[in-house]
Amino acid sequence: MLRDGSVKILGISAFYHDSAAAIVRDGRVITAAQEERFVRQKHYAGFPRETIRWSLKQAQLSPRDFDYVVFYDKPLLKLCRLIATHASFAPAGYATFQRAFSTWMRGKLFQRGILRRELKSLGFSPEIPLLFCNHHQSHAASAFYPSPFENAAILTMDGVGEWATTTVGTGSKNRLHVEKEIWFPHSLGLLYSAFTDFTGFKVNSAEYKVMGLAPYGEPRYVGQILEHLIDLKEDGSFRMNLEYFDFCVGKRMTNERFARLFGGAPRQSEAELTQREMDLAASIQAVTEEIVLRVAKSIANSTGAAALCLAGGVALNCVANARLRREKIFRSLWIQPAAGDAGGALGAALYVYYHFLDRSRAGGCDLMNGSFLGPKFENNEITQCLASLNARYTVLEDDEVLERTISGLVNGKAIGWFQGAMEFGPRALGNRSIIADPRSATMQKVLNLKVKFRESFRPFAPSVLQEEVDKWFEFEGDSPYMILVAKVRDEHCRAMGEAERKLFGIDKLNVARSSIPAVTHVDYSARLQTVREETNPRYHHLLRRFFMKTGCPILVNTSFNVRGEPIVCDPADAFRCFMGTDLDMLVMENCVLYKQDQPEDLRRDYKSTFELD
Amino acid sequence: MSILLHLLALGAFCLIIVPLGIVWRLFGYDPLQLRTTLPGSYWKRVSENVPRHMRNQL
Repeated sequence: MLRDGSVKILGISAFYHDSAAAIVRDGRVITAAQEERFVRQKHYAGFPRETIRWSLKQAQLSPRDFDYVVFYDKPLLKLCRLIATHASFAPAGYATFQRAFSTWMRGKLFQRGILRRELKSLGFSPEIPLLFCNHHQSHAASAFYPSPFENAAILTMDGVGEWATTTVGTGSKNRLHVEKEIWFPHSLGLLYSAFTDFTGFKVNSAEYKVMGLAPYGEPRYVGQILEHLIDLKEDGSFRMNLEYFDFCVGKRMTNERFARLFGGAPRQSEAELTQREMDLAASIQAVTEEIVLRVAKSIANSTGAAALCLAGGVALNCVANARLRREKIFRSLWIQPAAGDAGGALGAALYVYYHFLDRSRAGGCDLMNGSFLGPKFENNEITQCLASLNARYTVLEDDEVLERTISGLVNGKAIGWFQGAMEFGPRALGNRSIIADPRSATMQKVLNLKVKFRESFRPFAPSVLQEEVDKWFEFEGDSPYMILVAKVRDEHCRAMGEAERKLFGIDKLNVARSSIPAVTHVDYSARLQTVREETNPRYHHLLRRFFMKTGCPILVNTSFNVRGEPIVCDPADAFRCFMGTDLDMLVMENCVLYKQDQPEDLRRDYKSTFELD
Repeated sequence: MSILLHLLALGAFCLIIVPLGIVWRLFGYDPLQLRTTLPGSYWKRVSENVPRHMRNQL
């Protein structure tokens, strides 16, 4: 097929949210990254030009080397959905139709042409085959093909693709079949987003905050949700009652009737959180878990599969994932770390290689390479960048870097940790992370308010040595992608006093609940990342050294960014974030920087730079 | 949005979308299952949904 005989495929997701590009060569994932990291705009939706440029350079390929380019969904099927939706609600919905009509006429209708033009401008041949994969096929492929399973059931759930919002399928060796679906507007993703919107958070962005808020509340609205909003069947299929929602042809996700059902108007963004929002979050979380469990049981019965692969935005709900794992409906579970639309770029490329081209698949190992598929910078590139920014830094040997980092951590410093290749997907897994000592009782508050500039109710995630995880958490096995939660083991928990038990809502957060309070949520859970030496040796060494020094094999790991900012990509982004926040120390490969050494004039007001999410 | 696009949108809405909706309702066609509740399951088999020429086609 090609000069060197290998098959090279470029996968693209774009024009909705979270644009991304991925290169697959002979079925192996070579690069994958989100455009938002390059253009510094969260959830960027445009064509992933910079990602493709970087990917070509990284893979040492010319655009002319590629055999196929594949887009992650089918735009014309989306247009059919738009027409059917508006026809079903007509004569209501003219305002949204007019907006959508304009968007389609100005470009979306001509997406093939736009893609061709963009690809041509990057040097791709005008004749290169341009394929279009179904949205949920892309998700399903991103869940199954990189998984270690030869055969598995596949579940994808998100807001909406073309028509499907939930699909169930099977993967066997190199073949993938989507067997049944639930169609728009009946969508678990949109139901969750409706509650996200109603509780005052940003749709398609802040659903994870609702999940974080849930443990503060009681699920006292579950009955109302199941009675009025959704008709849930025993097999997990469902139909939403659209009389309560406005997302089909309206400006908001929910309507007046929805507000009346839940006791009044929606919470305004940034307004104070009340017990109602916490209870709503707990309730929708409980309903989500119930739906996911029922679907999983039904798939297990119908397919007899021992393993389940998950993708789609709902698969980022780590509390539901953990429940699924705990219930042991399947022997094994694998969740795509870039489960949202960005992962569609990778899935589409893998689908073309394995299914469309019918190439054999070995299986047996996780193809995601720890999700470290993005840009990487050498010491000389970092020092050049730092010098150009007038930063004051020291280049140290590996051992000294670790020693200084450990010393900073035990002295209560918050440290920017920038190492190796950037992660693909929404989680920082130890290469673009802010790390800190989880034993500190004040660290959660300090990091939330002074470093991340975000709501104080949200917990931080722990990175833990794989070999020590079962001694600290009620968890056995791997959670390399931070998409599962687990309870802190009883022996590390602290019993609550009478007065502490009576605390209400957010006040609960100020009580240390375990010997690792910075990563312990109010329900004693933690969003877990296990670290193996094979996948991330440097981060593993750091954790081991911290363990040797303190007896605690855990670090706080939160993404290296502030609220509303994409995770840092290159050394300049990292330095800017360092200088705009209360981070004390920055470690980039072997370069170490201390805040107190930096010139005062390099400090900047960072908080207002990014639109809040 | 230009006046031409406004007019086109209005024309498409009045001449295509609204009549389509009326005809669908007259014949009881409910592609979004807005008014259809089912006793058993809401799953759709993929073969029922996707025209043959579109199945597995990229």
